Amino acid sequence: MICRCEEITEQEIRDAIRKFDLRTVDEVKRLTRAGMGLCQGRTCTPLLTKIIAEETNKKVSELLPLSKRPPVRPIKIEFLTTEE
Amino acid sequence: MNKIVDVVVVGGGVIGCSVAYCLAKKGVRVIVVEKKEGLSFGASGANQGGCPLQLFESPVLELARESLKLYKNLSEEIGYDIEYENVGSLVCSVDEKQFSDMKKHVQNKRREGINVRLIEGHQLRKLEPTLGEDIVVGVEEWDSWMVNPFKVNYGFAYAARKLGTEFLFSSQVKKIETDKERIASVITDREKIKTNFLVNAAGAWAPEIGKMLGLTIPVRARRGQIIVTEPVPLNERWRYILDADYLTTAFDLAAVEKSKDPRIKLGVAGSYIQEKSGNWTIGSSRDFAGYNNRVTMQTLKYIAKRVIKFVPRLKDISCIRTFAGLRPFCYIDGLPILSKINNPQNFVIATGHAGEGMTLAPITGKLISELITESRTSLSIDAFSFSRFKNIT
Amino acid sequence: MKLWTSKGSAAEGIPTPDELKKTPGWPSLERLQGGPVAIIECIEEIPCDPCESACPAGAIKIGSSVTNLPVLDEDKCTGCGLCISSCPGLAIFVLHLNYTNGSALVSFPFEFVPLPKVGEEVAAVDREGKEVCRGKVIKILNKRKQNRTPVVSISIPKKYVLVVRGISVNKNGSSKQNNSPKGGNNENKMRVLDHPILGRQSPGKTLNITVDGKKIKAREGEMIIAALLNAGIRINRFTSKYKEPRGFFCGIGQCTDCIMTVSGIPNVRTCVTPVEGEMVIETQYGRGEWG
Repeated sequence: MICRCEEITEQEIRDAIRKFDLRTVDEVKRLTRAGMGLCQGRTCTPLLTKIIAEETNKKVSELLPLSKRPPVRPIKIEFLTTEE
Repeated sequence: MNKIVDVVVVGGGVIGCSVAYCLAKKGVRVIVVEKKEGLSFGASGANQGGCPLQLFESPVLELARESLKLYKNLSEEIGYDIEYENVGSLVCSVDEKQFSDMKKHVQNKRREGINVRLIEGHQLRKLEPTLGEDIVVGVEEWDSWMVNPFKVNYGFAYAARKLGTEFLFSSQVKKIETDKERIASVITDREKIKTNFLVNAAGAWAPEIGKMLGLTIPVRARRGQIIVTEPVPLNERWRYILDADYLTTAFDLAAVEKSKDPRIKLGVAGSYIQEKSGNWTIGSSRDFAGYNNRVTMQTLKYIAKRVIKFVPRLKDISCIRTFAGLRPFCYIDGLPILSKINNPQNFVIATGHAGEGMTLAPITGKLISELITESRTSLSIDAFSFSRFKNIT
Repeated sequence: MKLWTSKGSAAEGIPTPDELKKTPGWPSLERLQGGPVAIIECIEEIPCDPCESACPAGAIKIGSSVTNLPVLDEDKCTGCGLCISSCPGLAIFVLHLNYTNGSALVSFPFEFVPLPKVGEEVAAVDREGKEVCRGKVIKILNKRKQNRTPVVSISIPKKYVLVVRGISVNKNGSSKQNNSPKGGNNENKMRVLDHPILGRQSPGKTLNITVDGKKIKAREGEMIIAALLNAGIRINRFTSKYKEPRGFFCGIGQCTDCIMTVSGIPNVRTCVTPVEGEMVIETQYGRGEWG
């Protein structure tokens, strides 16, 4: 189990990478849902990066990192309404 | 590296991949050039995946209907599940003054043959208890659908690849060589590709391709922002809820200009879709900020305030991510541009879909492929011709 | 005298007898016979020198370069053991070979809970943590001056004096986990009230929280997960797809394995959410329930 939040297995991820010629963590996230769960990739991103590096024969440092967006941690919608 | 091919498609979004697939189906050799290291990096990767049939009007409505037919079989055809779901849509209003607009909307849609039903507020809440007390009236329509936008984009690309299409990533078009009113080759960072046709499906960046040919393509990037929530149990009846502002101010640039309401100025109108995973994508907004695809706290504030009126329970749910996308919006009339042009003769424009790209992707691919390989298209695209822009430089 | 084998400090972190004999911190066999003496098993040249200032007799010298290995002056060393607590690497011990006719005394730093009791029979373990013989706890020193690193002295058969460097204490409580709040009235069953590093804990007032209909005791202000673990509840939720149980995992609010529905609100991370008032907590199945 790579992505614990969305329950995505390593095999699913490798299959997606091979089938669609994926090269970035963002793409893997979009197609497998790994990294879309509650923790937003905090737990699985290092694992995903390593798998992609293996499958595409690149070094981890050569891969584009996962795109990070606000919020830094989950906040209630209610709090967004009071944001100044 | 030199290549020779029949058609070069610029842009790896859902439109580009759909065009590539439809061409490949006809045996055409296609290369898709995409400046990023992967697909879906433009509006195709920043949308909710919703296709609200009841919000379309002629001439786009005819395209949307055809697109729906194509979508119904798409998963089977390309051999990949795009998660097509017939969720229907509910346009509802939290403003009594919009009641007459809603009634008119029902009349118009019925005349166009779309099956809609007006439902009063209290009845709505009986059917769907999560809806808010402020909702006065709603119009439901059951042909609307949703898809997984990434799977559509990658699905088209996968099917196109199987038919021989080549995808070049991190390849930005730098120069287009012409010869006697025809495009001869396309030059990117790394390749020079000799081609018979060039399709501009670069979305918000389509004007940049046009500039290389001395053309002004009247498309501007219109930013939209979305809040993603944690997964929650699925709604009983309606998972696609829209703000009645879509019938009134959302697309009316003049009204936005006149308004003093900051929410309307930011183009915030409710568009709420609950995916089958349980997450709500809460949108949406419309503002012009160049190519800036970052979220702004102001807009998020108004989006959040708006959704609490429609689905109050969401106020206690957490937002886990926010993002923004750049829609290719035609600022002349808001309609897509699906057209050849006079000079060069082998340049085809397929953009300007604004917020309707995902809905219209299958039919766009089909029509553009017909435009290139046949003498006429199966549906009229005169309304989307480039020749309608007579006096722009 | 029994020795041990190992793949060496570089390969598995445990030095071989030869590696240790070469260091200047090991006393001679002759000195070992003459009363308690310190034995410094330090083999890494890193910038570290608290042992030098800890010794009142000046028997440990680092010298001009702070990365030097400590040199033991076995004649100056009285075996007082004050150096044991000073070593951050827990590498200093005191051996008293001739404690009695049959046994030797080994003194070592012990930073685990629970501390053994004097007179208790324990398992004496080697540098790998494997039991080699039985030992008896003779003395436990846990003074403020030692900065919260207790020193335990045990008697063991003489021949193991170069092998034994620690103990393994029998744990209290069963290892069988179950998910029902058992012993709910024993509010401190698994709570650490005197932490070896963080010191004495003073949790807030006791109150009841309800978990899946059953009441358990919790202390106000502590994290919900602490109250759950104390009551023996190890499963927090079941996943949506494969319906697998999940519980306390990262503990820092990142992995979302410990989430439960708290007072009607789903997806609450119990490891970073404090107990406030009489909360109603439910095991979350998949996405939970609306309000």
